[in-house]
Amino acid sequence: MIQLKNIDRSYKAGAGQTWVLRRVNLEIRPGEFITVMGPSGAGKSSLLNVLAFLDDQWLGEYWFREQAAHTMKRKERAELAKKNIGMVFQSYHLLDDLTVQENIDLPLSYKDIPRSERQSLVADTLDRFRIVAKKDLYPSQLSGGQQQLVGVARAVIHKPALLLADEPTGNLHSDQAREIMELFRELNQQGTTIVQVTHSEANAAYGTRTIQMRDGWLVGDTANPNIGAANSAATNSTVTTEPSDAAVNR
Amino acid sequence: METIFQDLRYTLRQLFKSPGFTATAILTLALGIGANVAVFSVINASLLNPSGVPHPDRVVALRAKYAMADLGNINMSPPDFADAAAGKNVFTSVAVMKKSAFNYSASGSTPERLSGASVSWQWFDVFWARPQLGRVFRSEEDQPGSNHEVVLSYAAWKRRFGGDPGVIGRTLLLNEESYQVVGVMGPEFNWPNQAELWVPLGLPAASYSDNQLRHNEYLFCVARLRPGVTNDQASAYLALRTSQQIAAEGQNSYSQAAGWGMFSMPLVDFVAGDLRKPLFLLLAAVMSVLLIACANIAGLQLARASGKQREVSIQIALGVSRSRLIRSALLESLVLACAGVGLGLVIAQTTIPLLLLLAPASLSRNLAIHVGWPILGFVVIVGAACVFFCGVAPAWQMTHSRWFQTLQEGGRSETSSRGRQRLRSALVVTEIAVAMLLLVGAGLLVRSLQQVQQLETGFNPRGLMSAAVSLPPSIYKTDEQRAAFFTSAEEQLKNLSGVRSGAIADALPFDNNGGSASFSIKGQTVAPDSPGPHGNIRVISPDYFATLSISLVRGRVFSPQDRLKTDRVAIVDETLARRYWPNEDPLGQHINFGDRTPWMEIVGVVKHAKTSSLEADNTEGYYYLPIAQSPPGMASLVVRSSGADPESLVSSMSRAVGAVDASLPLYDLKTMEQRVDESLTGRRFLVLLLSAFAGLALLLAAVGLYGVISYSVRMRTRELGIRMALGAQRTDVMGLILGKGMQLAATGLVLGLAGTLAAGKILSSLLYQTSLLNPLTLLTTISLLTATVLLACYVPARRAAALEPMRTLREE
Repeated sequence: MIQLKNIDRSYKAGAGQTWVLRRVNLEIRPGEFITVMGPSGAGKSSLLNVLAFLDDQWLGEYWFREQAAHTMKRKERAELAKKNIGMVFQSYHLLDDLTVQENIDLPLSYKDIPRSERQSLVADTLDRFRIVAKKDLYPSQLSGGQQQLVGVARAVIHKPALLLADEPTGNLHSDQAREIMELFRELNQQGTTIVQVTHSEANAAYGTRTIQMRDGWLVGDTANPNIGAANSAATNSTVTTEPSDAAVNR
Repeated sequence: METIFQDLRYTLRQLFKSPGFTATAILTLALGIGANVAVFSVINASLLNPSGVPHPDRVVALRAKYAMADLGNINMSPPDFADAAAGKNVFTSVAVMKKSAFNYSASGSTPERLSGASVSWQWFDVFWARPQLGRVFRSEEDQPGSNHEVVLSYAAWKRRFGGDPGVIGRTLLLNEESYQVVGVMGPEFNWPNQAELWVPLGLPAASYSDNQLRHNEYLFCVARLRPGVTNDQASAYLALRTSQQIAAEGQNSYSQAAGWGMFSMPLVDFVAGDLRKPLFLLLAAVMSVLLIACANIAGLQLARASGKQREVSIQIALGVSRSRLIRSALLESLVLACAGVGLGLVIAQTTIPLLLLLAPASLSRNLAIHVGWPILGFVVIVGAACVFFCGVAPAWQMTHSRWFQTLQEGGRSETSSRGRQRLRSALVVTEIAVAMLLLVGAGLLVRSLQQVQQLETGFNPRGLMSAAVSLPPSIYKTDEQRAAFFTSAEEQLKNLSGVRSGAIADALPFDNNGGSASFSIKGQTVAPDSPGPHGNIRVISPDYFATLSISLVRGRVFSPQDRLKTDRVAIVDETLARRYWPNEDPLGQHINFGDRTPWMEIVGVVKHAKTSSLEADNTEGYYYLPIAQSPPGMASLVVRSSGADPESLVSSMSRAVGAVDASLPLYDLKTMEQRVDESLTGRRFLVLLLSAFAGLALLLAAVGLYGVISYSVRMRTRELGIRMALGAQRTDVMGLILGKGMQLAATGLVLGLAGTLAAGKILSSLLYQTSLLNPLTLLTTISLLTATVLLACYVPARRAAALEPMRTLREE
């Protein structure tokens, strides 16, 4: 489904550069439930942003369903993301001034879908996530778990092939977290490919594959034990290699 | 006191730390205040405190009217003046004046024309005008034959006599007669119309009691009210004298039939005339601009208050009183207002001469603008209003913020931010509504001006040059002498090179001269309740119609054979003919001015030409008399150029008149196009100023909208990031922000339109054949406003569209 080849991402920091992703090579197959783990600053969220096309200042190759996203224009990537990707955030990112129903409808409002069809999709989703009774409430009237439930509902309403979740249970207590993770498992079983970033081993247990990151390097992958050895050596190396052979994406 | 200085120091430091905000606020206020002071100065100098007239509220103009002849406000006759002057319990003094021009011949120099007035001896008393040198007139000097004294204006004394104090007692040759200088007025007094000198009127005492002169109104009458007497009481007194006169004349008198009467009106109202309403409209407009400026600054301060919220919260937590917070918010406004007033006064000082340049001559020539107490008082009031309007919203917000919540949230309280945003939005909606109101008003007035400009004058003003000449009565004593002069002068004019034709008349269209008179029609009896026929009267030379291109409809024009001793003839225009001979041919009919005057045969009918206004309803027709049969003492010359610029004919016109009498100077030299154009000055003055104020209002509203939308983008960064993360394209985000701007604009637009309808009565009275809901004007205004709104929103919208969702969400 996705192939990342030599993905680099850095930020300018004073006179130098700070690297947040270093030569990341990763293949994600349809139906996988991947957990990305690692200490703070390892590059987990940066990787998620690259996958979500929220960031387009990286170097390297990004293939999405055989399409070369790295050669696409910004607008084409945004279209690709709109059709295929759903995002769940740690702090829910619901819009305060919109009701539950309106929040869920938001991704559809940016698609060319007739109003009646949108209403029907929203109604189905509210029903599926069992939040019909809360459809007219505002986010501030919901608990954290309920808010994240709405966040997930919003992320999947357009039936994305890939669901990206950035520490989706980080602000929830364990019962609520479990509920959300069960929901992810269910979605995965229904065919949605999921990539989640988490610090929680319990959450990782829901996944089918775990990758480890450190200092921007991909240092472990349960599906490919060899990656760990190669990249660990690079992490410990003092030599900084510039990504001269990578494509520049704008 | 110490805390005030401490707060002041802190405020100044804060303002210096934000030079962009400070400069914008001061400049915005200065523009608003400057425009207000400039317009108020003109109103003060024209309507409230005219220069050289102490206690102007006590000075009244005494006027006459003929209700049945559509003459609502005209001069008075000598007997009218005598009636008014008899009201000793009502007036402290009453005086009359007749505008006069004097040919002044200094020894060895070419003659020149001085503008002045022949006045009754009480003239200066009415205005409380005291001479700087010498004295004013004595009653015994205001007699026929004794009236050879002159009082010089300060300006004339300085300009023509170098300010020589020895001028008193000197003899001047005016209109070829000797006048002795008895006084020099102070610099503040130059009534009427920047007069250069005054001479005694010297009417025979009998004329004041001669009832035959009752309806010969040629004197401008002014009076000073006794303390405690109001204008209404003065009018009531004159109404009483009117009814006494009508009663004395008996049943079915002309006075009664014509609806004749006398009344009083404040002098300032008389001087402002039709400009009174436009001037106050301009003041209202310019005050609206200041309101917008204040709303803008209040909006900017609200935005700044957001940045200072945490600081204020800490202060409140530490126990600062709300009154001190309010004081600190108002102190910032006070500092800004003081700077705005200072710079505004400089702007006003620069703008006032420009205003006077644009103002109609009838207004500007009487104006002398001095910065006195009324203007300073106005400045203080305006400044205080600015402090209030700019400071009250931020002060309210500061003292009502949820400080505890703010501290807990680390300085960011969305609830209070939304409250501020709503307040700022309301301010911007108000700004747009006011700008819309002004734009529509200006647009409608522009449309009206265009309508008026398209009206026909009834003659062809292009290629016509005109001038005036005054014949000294001491030289041109008889009708024969004056007629001979005009005949020779017309010949000279016609023979000038570059001149196709030339003519002479007692008054020309649009030169604000000329009169009207009643007449009798032979064979027609006047109904007891009718004032009888009445029309504008002009005395013209034979080539007048040809020169002005006024078409002859029937009969003939005057010829050189229509002389003093030949049969009296007249020509009427179609308007007069339609009114008094609706079903018959006026040719061959006879008219006269009463039993003792000869009958004049109507020999021609011509097209109607307008007198002084393009837009006025021309129900009053003209009748023309040959200049040879009624030669006036003052006349206008007009020539039609054969192709060259008519202004190039000035010197040859002077030579032509000089060839007949070298002592006669020409004055009032203007092309006829200039004269017609000047009749639109008042309307154009209003259009220009209102358009300028509307433009300023639009600019300020756009700045305000830009501020609100920018602030809104800042506040919605998170929301926009989420929307983009969920699939919103950059165009969607731009649309969202532009939509917000358009939503505010639409609300303001609707309110502005409602305001236009509410102000409909005032606006309609200034419009000519233009509906309040003129579609073209509304469409243009709405398009202009929409374009400005889109422009003001575009930059913040672009900024919003360029947000990086990843960065936005990470910062959250």
